[in-house]
Amino acid sequence: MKGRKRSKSAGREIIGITGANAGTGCTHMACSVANYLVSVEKRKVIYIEVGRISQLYDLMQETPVICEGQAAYLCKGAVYFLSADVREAEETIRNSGKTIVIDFGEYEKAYDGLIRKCGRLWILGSLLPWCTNAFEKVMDEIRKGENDIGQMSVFYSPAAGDAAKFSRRFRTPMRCMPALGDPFSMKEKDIRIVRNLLYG
Amino acid sequence: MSYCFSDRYDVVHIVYESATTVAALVSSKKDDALYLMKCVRKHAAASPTNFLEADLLRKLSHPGIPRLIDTYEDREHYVIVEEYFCGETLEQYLLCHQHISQDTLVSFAIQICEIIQYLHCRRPDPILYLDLKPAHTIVCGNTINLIDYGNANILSSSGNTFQNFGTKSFAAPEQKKGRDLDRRADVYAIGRMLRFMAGYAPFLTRLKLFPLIFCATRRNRNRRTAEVGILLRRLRKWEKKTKKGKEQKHLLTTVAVVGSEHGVGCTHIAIALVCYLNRAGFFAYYRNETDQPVAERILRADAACEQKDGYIYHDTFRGILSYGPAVEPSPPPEGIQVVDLGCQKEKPEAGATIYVCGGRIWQRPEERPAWTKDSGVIPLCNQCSVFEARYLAAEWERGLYRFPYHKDAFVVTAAVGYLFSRMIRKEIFP
Repeated sequence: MKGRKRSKSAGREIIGITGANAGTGCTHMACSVANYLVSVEKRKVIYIEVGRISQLYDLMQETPVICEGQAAYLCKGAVYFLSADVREAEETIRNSGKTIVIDFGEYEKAYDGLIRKCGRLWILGSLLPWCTNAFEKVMDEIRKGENDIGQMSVFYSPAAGDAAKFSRRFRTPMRCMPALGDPFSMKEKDIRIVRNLLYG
Repeated sequence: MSYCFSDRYDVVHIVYESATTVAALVSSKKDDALYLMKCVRKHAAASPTNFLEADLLRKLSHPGIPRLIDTYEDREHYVIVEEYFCGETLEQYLLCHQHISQDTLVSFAIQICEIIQYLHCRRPDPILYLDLKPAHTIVCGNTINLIDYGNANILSSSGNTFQNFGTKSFAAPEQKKGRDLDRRADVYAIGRMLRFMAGYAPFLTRLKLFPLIFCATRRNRNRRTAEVGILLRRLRKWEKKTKKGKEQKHLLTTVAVVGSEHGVGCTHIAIALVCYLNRAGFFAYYRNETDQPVAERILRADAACEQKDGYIYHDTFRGILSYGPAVEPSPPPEGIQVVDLGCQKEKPEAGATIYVCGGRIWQRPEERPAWTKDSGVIPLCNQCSVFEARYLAAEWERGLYRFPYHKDAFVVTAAVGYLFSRMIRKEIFP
């Protein structure tokens, strides 16, 4: 009897997090989400940090492991691929059947192909006067291929700015960036926040 | 409502809303303090000329009664702003804790009686509260506060038909029928409150409380406890007596449940033990040390469970949520922790260990770990017949307990209760 082969991508989820500017808190948010999924929901999670410079390298004290044929780090239950380029990231997504959290860092045009693979995309930006232009530009760029993205959420930092105006212009609801604690030592409050972000 | 006080208060959130009343948590613009604002439509207020609740609160001064802060009246509404007690209702408190110790119960009961007695002893106009129920009782730490004086009324010497029918489960029979009322209506409600709390108390406390509740909740008010003072005196006497002969606590803090192999029902027995211990008044909680969050998986599928501050509650079950390494563990609560270790070969460090094994041929352990022969280890046979249990007992050369067939681990059946009570009496607290 011939059994039906289960596709590797069945039942998995890809969550992408990108920022309009550097320093918007993408890595912080992505780590919190990855650690929540690993620790609370007991999912197998791969964290991909796309970009040339790794923000997380200094934190990885464990020795590298080989995962999906590539060198990776295992930290608190999640597998971390650091400073991966787009091709490597695509290969990992293709080969893996686990939940994937992609930290894009600052948005670049080259990430568009990868962004369209995400089931959920979170865009983080600041509404400070000197950051608004970049935020608008990124929103314009991403919205061109919006139909391919399953679910898009936009977060703004609570410092300043007119979120309502921005929201009206791009016809998208905006959510205020929550204050999350240490993503590697989460507290009950952080768990509640991330759960709300994912399912609330 | 928002426009009435918008210059002085910001509405934080609506607590309660009905066709006639809106209660909201408001923050003062002056000092950022939180208050409770209650807005009632005029045609629905008790008296057409003045808002009685505000008048009553203005006269009262007791730590368990909210202070009146502000009042306002327009063509359609009466608005009162009163002190906000930050805490949870007695209903929520008992749902989360699932257990109330004898001391706490007596302390809460005394505080409720003191507040009601304060109202009854007001001169020249004694006040009847007339709507005592767990939802109106706010627990703030160890103190009890009584809110919502919307049904309260002044007791006069000539006729007291207030047309306040109270809440079905807590109102006195004469109140439900709309007859004239006196202090005994509140005594009845206190009796019902005691009965409500006793449902979560240890069995012995329930037994001791029974005469008190019985006398306070007699349907015939002429045979009912006449005054709150009598109840209060009895409760104080009881509190004094229990304080004297107490402080002899057991030293057991951990009970480990280990299975001989996978699938013998280790988690099932650990859950049943927690439920039994909590029901018996021992205050126990479940901690999972296996790789699989079995208990959580069962509970999350059940809508009746509640998660709060790293703990999961369901009926009498209480457990610590087993998060992964990226989450800071919550401090363990006081009480007995029942640790589910799954299939472990090493000797666990615990005050008592229950070693669970299956009776089927394929479940019989080929080689029993040496530590299972120690005196502190209680062998328990699960999912096996009497004959299989006897066979195992003969093989092991010691008696073992047989867990009765039990489908739902969260329900303590009589057979399960009997087994654990025997085990506790003979093995854990001999």
